[in-house]
Amino acid sequence: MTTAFLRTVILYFILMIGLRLMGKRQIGELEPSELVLTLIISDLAAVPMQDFGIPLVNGLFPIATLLCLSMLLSFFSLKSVRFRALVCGRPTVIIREGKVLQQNMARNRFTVDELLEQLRSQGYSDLSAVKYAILETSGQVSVLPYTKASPITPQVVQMEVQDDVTLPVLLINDGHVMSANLSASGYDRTWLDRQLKDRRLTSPRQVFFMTVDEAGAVVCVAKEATA
Amino acid sequence: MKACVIPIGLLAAILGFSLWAGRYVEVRTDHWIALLETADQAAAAENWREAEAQLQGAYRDWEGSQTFFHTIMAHEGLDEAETLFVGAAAVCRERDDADFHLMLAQLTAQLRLLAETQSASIRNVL
Repeated sequence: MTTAFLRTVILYFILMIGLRLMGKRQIGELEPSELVLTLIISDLAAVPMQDFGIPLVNGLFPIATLLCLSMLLSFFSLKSVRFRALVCGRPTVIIREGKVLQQNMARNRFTVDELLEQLRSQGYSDLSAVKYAILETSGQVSVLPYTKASPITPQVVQMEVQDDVTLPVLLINDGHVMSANLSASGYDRTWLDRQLKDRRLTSPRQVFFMTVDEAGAVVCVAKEATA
Repeated sequence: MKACVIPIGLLAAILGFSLWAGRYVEVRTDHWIALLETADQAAAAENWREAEAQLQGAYRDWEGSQTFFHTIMAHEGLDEAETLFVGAAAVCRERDDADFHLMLAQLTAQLRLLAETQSASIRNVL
């Protein structure tokens, strides 16, 4: 068991280093430590599950060890910027002032195709519209376009607009009343029943979903009649 | 620092238990090997009654530890040792000195292997 423990610790760090060396494009949306955890834990759980000749603790102890290591890495990443850079890496600028930094891309094994794909997915088909592009530690690309290519906002044209952004709260979810959301929004069951009655509905069970926002606007979608 | 206490404590507990389990297996197997050696010496002196008693004592003790052993070790090695124990008992009843000595040598080697798999050594880890 000590062997399993020490092997888990060694393999965890080897995989972490390996993923860090592979560059950000391999990671996707997870941090390296999270990806390592996901990769190993599923396999560790599967082995004692299928092979009855292997004791359960041979799977449980390495999993617990990995979770503890992951918690410790998260803790130290939170406390130390330098440690966080070591574990998660740093964001890399791959376009600066419209110029593609090829060395930075090569260092992260990030290809032109991937760059163009990421830019297209964010609505930039023309590279000349991009002033800065940053390859984040998660492998995603953040794009900052030139002002001339930026979407027009009320701020740009100095237009006075009323703030009408509100957060809708789910009150009925597939026929189930979300009582906690209802009371947190300042409403009660009587109000809900009245809302249903106004829409010619007799029960929350007839509602697919219903939301209310901070301004009191209610959106109600009734369930479709089943055949 | 509080958030560190649980993972560090759990890691220490796992490592501590693993080291203890490895040491426990070593102590138990050493005990059985000593009993088997006594049985072997008794058989060599044609004292088959004593040899059988020592072997049965070792087997009873072995059986008593099997629940714990099966929770920490791969069952394949344990099953092999179990087979050798049963084989040694059969040969002991036949009172065949050469076969009994060979069977005990195999059983002792198997028990040593079991203990070795649980020891915290560079050879095992790497």
